[in-house]
Amino acid sequence: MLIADIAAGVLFGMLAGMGIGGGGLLVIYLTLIRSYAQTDAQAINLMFFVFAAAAALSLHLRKRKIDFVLVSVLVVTGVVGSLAGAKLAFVLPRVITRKLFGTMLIVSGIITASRTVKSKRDADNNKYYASDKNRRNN
Amino acid sequence: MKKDIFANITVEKVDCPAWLWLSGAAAGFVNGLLGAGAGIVLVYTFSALSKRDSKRDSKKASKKSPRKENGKENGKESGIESGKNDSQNSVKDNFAMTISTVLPISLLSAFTYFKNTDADVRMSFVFLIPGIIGGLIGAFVTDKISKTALKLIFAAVTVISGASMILR
Repeated sequence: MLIADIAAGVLFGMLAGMGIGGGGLLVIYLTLIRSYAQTDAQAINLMFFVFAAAAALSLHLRKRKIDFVLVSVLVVTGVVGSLAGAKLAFVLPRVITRKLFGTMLIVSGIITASRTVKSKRDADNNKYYASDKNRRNN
Repeated sequence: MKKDIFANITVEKVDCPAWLWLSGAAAGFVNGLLGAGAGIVLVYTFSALSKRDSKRDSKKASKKSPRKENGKENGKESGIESGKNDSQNSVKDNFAMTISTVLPISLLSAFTYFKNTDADVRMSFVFLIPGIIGGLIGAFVTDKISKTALKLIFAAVTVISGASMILR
């Protein structure tokens, strides 16, 4: 089981590092394959994210522009929301939390797919227009 | 050296419309309730913000903002292409901002969770070291491969597991 855990960790890390997405993959693995309770899996996923994000951010702080004011506004309001959400997570029955999590996964999967298709189409269109322009210029 | 690290943190006056506050709260709420998924909310927040900023910038394109100069200056040093329109943050800038927003929120959520569950904190460390190794591999290969297929597979996997979570 340890080997499966390590392999899963490497895989999720890779997907997150490529910017494809990582949110919730560990929860999927822990609940569907390792049969953890929903809230336990969410707790482990959160902790995993905190450390992984801190590592990633230490690389990004050097290279990327971060609008600090904007981030603080989002953090302050986010903290309020997160306290409410975490409180609710322990009031709701676990079955409901799991179903909500499943709904979130479906929504995020659809969003990822549609954004991917759209950006691919935009890139293809740009390529087409560029080649069209070149042809006319020649 | 310390100065260098924070050189790219820009501070400027932001007007904060209500939807910005609300989307922060929504991201936090999802993150607290489900332990994940704040990124999905913030993707929309940041793309809406870049749209708004590019609209606003095209109106007063002649006026040079101090932030733009800052971006150019650092661009030479850190490899961000210089001359890039500042308001149109790159995908990677938005990614970095998403992480820096979700990190403190997740830390707080995590505390709440571990106080209320008997989940073993050590379990997250089992995944952490492999996760960091994977993250480095991912960051290394990210520009070398086409991600369209991978993203679609990822989307399919999340939809299928979401459905099985609902049905089970």
